[in-house]
Parts: sequence; C-alpha cells; structure tokens
Amino acid sequence: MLPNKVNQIAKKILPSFVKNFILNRISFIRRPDEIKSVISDQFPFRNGAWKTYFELLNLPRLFDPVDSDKPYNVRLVFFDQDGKIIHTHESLKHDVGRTTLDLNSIFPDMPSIGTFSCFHNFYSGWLEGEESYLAERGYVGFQNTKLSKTKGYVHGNFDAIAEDSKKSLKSLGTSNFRNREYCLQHELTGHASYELFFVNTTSSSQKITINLKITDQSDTFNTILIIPPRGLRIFKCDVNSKETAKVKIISRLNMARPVVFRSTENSFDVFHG
Amino acid sequence: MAYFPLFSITDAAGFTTLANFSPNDWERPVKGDLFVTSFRTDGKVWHASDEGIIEQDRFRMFEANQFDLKLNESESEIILFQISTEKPDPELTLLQPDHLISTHWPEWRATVGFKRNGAQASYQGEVNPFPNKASLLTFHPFIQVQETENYFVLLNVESSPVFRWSELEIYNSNTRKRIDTVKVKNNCVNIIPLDQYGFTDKELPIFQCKTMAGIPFGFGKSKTSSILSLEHTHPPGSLTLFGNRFNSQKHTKSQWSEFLKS
Repeated sequence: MLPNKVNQIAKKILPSFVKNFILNRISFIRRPDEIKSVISDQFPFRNGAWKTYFELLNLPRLFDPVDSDKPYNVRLVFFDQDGKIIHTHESLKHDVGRTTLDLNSIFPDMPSIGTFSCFHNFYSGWLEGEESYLAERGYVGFQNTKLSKTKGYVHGNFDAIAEDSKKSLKSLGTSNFRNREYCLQHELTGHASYELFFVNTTSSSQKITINLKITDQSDTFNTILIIPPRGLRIFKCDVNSKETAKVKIISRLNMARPVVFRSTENSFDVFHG
Repeated sequence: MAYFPLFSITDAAGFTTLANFSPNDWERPVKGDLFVTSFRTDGKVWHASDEGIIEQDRFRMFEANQFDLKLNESESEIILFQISTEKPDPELTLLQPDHLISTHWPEWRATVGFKRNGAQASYQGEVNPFPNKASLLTFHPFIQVQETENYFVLLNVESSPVFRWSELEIYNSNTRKRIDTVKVKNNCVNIIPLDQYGFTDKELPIFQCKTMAGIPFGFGKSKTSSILSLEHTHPPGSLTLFGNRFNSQKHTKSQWSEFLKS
C-alpha cells in the first residue's frame, strides 16, 4: 500500500512536523495523536419516517476473546448536520452478544438527519505494540416505518474520527491540494428517488459539486454543497421511469463516497457508494 | 481487475451492472470500449463466453434470467464477469487476472443486486479469487427476528475451476456452543437459512470455516412487504486501523479458534 511505504520512508528521513504535513496531504486518513485513541466512522442517522438502529458489538472482545473479558465504556456522540455535538450517550458493554440500539429511544430529540460515532473505550498492549487502533466500522440498520419493519443495513466505511483518553475528538479525513473526481459506479434507475448522504470527515469546510447526467441527454446538472467539518449534506434527485443517470462528485476530499438511499413507492435500498 | 459476480438468492433474482469508467480521475487504466466476458465452471474448466462490449462511459446490466443459472434453496451457481481489452481463452484451467484494468482507491466495482416483487437490494462489489488455503471468521449481526426471513450467504471464488467442499461451523458467541456444521462449496454461492436455529436478537452468530474463505453476507426478505435487505460483514482485520492489518486479523482468528475450541 502506497501510504504505508511512504510512511516508512518518511519516518526515516523527515522531521516529524514535515512528515505529518506531507502524510496528511497524501494519505486518506490521519493518524490519531495519542496511541490510546479509539476510532469510529461518522454514521448517518435518519428520523421521522425512518428509524435508525445501530448494532452495538463488543469490539474489544471480538478482537481478542481471551484477554478482553472486562466491561468497558461505550460512548456514542451525535452530531447535527453542521457537525456540532448535540447529544452523547454512555453505557457499559460486557457480553459478547449483540445489542441493537434504537437510536430514537436513546436520543428522543434526535433531529431528522445527522451523524453519530461510537467509541469503544478500550486499550490493549497488543494494539500499542502494533501501533494500531480499535476502529468502529459497524452496521447501521434503517427502517422505513411506512413500508415494513425489515431493516436495510449498511456498513461503515470511513475511519472518520478519533477520540483520545480525554474524550477529545480529532477528524481523520484528509483533503487534497486540487479537486478530485469520484464517479459512482452505480447506475441510477427509475422510477425512484435517490438521496446521497455526504459526510465531511475532515477538519475544514468542504465544497462538493455533484454532477448529474441523465443518459442520452447532452445537458448535465451541477449541484454545489458546502459541508462544514463533521457535517452532513444530502443530494436528492428523482429518476423517471425508463430513465437512467450517472453521478460524478468533484471535491477536494480524497474519497467522497456517499451512503446512497434508493426509494420507490413500496421499497428502499441502502448501500455504500 | 477483479471479477464481478452474478448470482441469485432463493427467489430474489440477481443482476449485475458493469461500468466502463474509472471510479476516480487519478487512476484511469483504459479508455474506449471494452470486451465483456462471462465465466462459469463445470468443475473441470472455467468456460468463457463472449458477452459483447461495453461502451466507454456507459453501464451495462446483466440479469440472472439471461443465463441458465443453476439455483436451489442452498446454493446458487455463480457467473463471473470480466471487462478487458482483450478476449480471453474460451477455456481456462485457472482464472487469470487482467492487470490492465484496475484501480485501488477504491477498487473498480459493479452494482451487484437482487430483485423480487419490484424491490431490490444491492451492494457495490467485486471479487478476487481467494487462495484455496484461506479461512473465514465472521460475526453476523444482521438477523431480524420480526417479519423477516434471514439467510447467511457465502460467496466463494477460487482460481481453480475444480469443485471442493468444506465445513462451515456455526456458533453462538454467548455460549461458544457449536450450533451446526454445514457443508459449503467453492466457486458458488452458499445459502444457509438462519431462522431454523432460533437465534434471538441478543445473540451474535459466529461463522468459522478453517479451510475456505469467502465474502459473507446477511440477506433478509420481508414477510409482509417486498423489501429485501443485504449487506456484507467486514473481515476481522477491519476491527483495527493502522499497524499491520494482516497481523491483527491473524491474532483475532487464532484467538477465536482457541476460544471456540475450549
């Protein structure tokens, strides 16, 4: 992996501040500042016509079932769509089973959209020896209450944010010097409504241009979203019957991959773009 | 490049939509129209079929009903697509990689999905052949106890076209008790109904296969609506970030192997 090789070379020859500056520019994720930090994705949540569930698993125990049998603290941090912390929830996790958290019940005033992270307050000598961090990339279930109780699941994909031992947060996403294109390799098909959820995992505001091209039409449609740090924005579009479309995302983000909802009258699909 | 799978799961008919454009603008391995080839094994050789071309900057969808896919309640035949600049040999003793068309950030992917009664569920995916000495350990948090039929789906592809079978062990993580052992086959999609085991929503099933790897999925079908649910689980190496992920995965697999034995 290129970033690893560059990291090894940089470690040998560069002062740490120069190394960190360069690596933060070319790597897709920054390192946490403290070895005892834990990492989480910033998962989108929905409320209102939707219910959002999080599958809370005992990550320390899954990582090491023999040496990690003590209860530990799990902290959920909720962010509004502008990236501000609006709620936290702490609980003890001890068994190695599964706890399905109904986010609406632990945060009754949850807004219609936002994000959350889940930090497993766990540290082990094994991880320190490997200069490695526990990372929550888990599974979020979305339920459209008008349609069915069956949830559509989507896994986390971004190592978005780190929490250190003082509960201080650091965004780990990086941006580039120039704009980059990310093309969704999914054909939008009608008749359906699409919602693309973009999370800014960097520590600076980001401009995202979404370029929508309806197949066999010469025009393209550009939509610009400005997303604050740790914020969330949604791009919405409808695709008519017999129409198909393609989406290109232009931004300085290294990987502007959205979570995609495709809704029809009687069903929905959710997946990582 | 990786291969793009097409398969079905029970009465949910598979579709795969290929893309002939790079997912990013800094890795553009090829331009122009590309050949599409499908591969399927009869247990002796991989048979290649010419599926025509895919135009530059376009998508092309293939559906299970275009192929005479062998399908029953416990397994689905798998069709593998490859897009390439050259037509491959019609019969292969080993699946060949095509390094001309590949990206890494992210990997070049297709939409792999399933349709039933007007609903669909999909993921962005690809598959690289697994080594035949690899193993599988996965934790499965997708069982929905209300109104949903639940399945564990294991997709395996290996370079060799020869079929082989292995044992998939199913455990309850709370009790460490082995619930069942199921035969699984390579170069196909294994479908295991989970409701027969009576897992509750507080129990986390563990699937372990010591002699075969694969991509594990949770698949759900609503009993009251047309909605389908599909997602894959992460490999155990994804529990950590930075450091050597191979070491991390090896650590977790060996610890669980001991733990489930004791």
